[in-house]
Amino acid sequence: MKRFPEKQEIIKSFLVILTVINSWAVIVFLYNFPGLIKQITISDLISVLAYVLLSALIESVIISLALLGLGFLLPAKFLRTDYAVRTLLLLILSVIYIIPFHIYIPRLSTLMFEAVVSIFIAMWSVLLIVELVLFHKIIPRYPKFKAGAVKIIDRITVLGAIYFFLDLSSLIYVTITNWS
Amino acid sequence: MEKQNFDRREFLKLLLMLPLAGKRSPTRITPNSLLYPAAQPDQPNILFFLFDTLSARNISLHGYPRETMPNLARFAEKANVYHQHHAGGNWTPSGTASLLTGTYPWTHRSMSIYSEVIESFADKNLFHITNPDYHTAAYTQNFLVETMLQQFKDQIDDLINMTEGGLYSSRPDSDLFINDFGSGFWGQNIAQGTWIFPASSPFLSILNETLYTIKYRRMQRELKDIYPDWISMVLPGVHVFLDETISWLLDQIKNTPLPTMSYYHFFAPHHPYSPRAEFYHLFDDDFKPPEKPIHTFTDGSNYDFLLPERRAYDQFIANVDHDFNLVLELIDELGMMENTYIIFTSDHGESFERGVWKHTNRVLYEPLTHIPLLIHKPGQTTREDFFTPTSAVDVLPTICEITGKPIPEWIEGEVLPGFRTEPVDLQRPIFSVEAKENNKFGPLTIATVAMIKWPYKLIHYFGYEELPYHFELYNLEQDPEELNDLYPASPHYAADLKSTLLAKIEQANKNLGKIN
Repeated sequence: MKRFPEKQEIIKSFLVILTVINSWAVIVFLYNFPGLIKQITISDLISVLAYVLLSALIESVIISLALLGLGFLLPAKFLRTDYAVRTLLLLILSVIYIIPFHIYIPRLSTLMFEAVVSIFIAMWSVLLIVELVLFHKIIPRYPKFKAGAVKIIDRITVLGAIYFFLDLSSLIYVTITNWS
Repeated sequence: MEKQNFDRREFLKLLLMLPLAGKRSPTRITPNSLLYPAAQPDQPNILFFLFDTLSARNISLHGYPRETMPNLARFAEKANVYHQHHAGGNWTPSGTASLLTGTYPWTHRSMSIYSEVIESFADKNLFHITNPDYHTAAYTQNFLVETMLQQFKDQIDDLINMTEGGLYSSRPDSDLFINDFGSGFWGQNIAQGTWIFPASSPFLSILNETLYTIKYRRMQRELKDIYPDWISMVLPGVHVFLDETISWLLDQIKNTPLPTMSYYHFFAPHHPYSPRAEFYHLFDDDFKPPEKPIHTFTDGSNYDFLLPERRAYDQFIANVDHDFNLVLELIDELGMMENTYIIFTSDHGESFERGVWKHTNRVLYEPLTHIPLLIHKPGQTTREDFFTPTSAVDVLPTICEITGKPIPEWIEGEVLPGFRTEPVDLQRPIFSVEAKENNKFGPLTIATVAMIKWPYKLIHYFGYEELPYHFELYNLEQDPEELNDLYPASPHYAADLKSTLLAKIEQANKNLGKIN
């Protein structure tokens, strides 16, 4: 069990991931909203949102499990210690890195996608390693930085709890609609 | 603290209820056999075969120089052939909904990529009309049509799952979200990202897309001898194989309870054009279609780029022709030619001209709207040709006629020539409507509408930034390639046509929401 972070840290980290992933999902949904509202009814719009939020929940669970796995494999100083802070930073930097890719991906053909995605994943892997090493150096040296991140996490977790409820209600809705 | 807890709980309660509120009632679970009386055994069958994106302008039967469909020409010898048949729109939602509801897009409102018809048409369609007397069955390989068919499912005895007929899908919506297909489809499209959306799922979408691409490349390697170039791809992660589709269809026809009204909507020859190897070397000729002026709404595809694409499309059509002939042979072997109406058509065409490729655009030239329509009547042994302009909206009233049903007043079409006793009005205007960008629930304010009043065709663009109010006029008899726009030189010439067209749009806008 020592190879896993504290339970509280895991929960906080999960709520942080939920917040980041759901916020991106909501931004994309709102980006599409003017087009959607011209074409589908309000009830269908809410229904579509339920599927979008459900996919955000699934993605958050998968990312949380992947990070836990990474924490299990790596030495404690790289990820397990201050787990919530490190996952928050990793996630935010990854999302910042990934946004331009998503803005341009709809315009890419299949062949372009293959070329771009391999470079993208390679660069992302390098970036993750650099980030892990960098956090290892920065976080213990600058307690104020860490304290600031912890404060952010405390606030984010409230939003994370709201998203969790919304995601769960989406899961219930999709389940009832399709398998009742 | 207490106040905060109370507020949050109340807020969450409300949010929990939000997705459940306002959604239409769940799927009716009453079996269709209890809703409708049993089929009448003496009725002739009706089999619809719709091949997506098949332009009449690329079919040899309709004068195309390449012999793309020799088997269809043989079938035509025992059928009614409609030489001037036109789609309700220039792409799947508008074209298919016009066929299935007998109304134009300004009425059924399936105009955009959110392809459901308006609620009042959920029980005004081909299946609703034929269900009491027939075993109704429907199958499609096009997700936009599936969305529509799911709306009509209460009237379809056998709505066949998309994955049964040679379609392989890695997407969950084709199996898991079947009770709520439209929302599930669009929810997944937003999560995954499409050609118009960035993905709402930032990491999994890339993983998914990568897995789809790896799978596609593996299939390409394994099937290179059969499909030298492309494998037909409906969406990322969804592939369809025409030969498997046809094999499935042969079994399906043998096993469908009779009398049946079955609607089969196949993806071929839709892009990506993926003919099998045996058709890959066809049309290695010097054929060059006339070069036409580049349109304002060009997507940048130039003449030289479009030539090989056209050739691949023609090869794919030849492939469709070959495989569809196997179906006709089976129908003949089963003796069904004697007791079956066989309807062969498409939902819209494809463009390879004016710098406009494929069909997701704003133009309504003949390659996009001129579609095939052949109808074999039970026991028919001779060919009948009809050159009067007809529309996809005429098919449903014709079905009413042959099944002895009264034609509902909401239908905008007329019974096709060859099925009616009254003389045909040669001056009846027919329409095609393109309004992807228009508000589904509002009047037409940004659209392209084409009207054919033989021999003239008037095209009206309105509401676009580039063409806010524009007309083009062609004489299809003298200028079938639509090269000579008569409008700029003599707008007065078109005055009568223009007033008819504008009055029709105005009337359609006034009628909005009045269909009950």
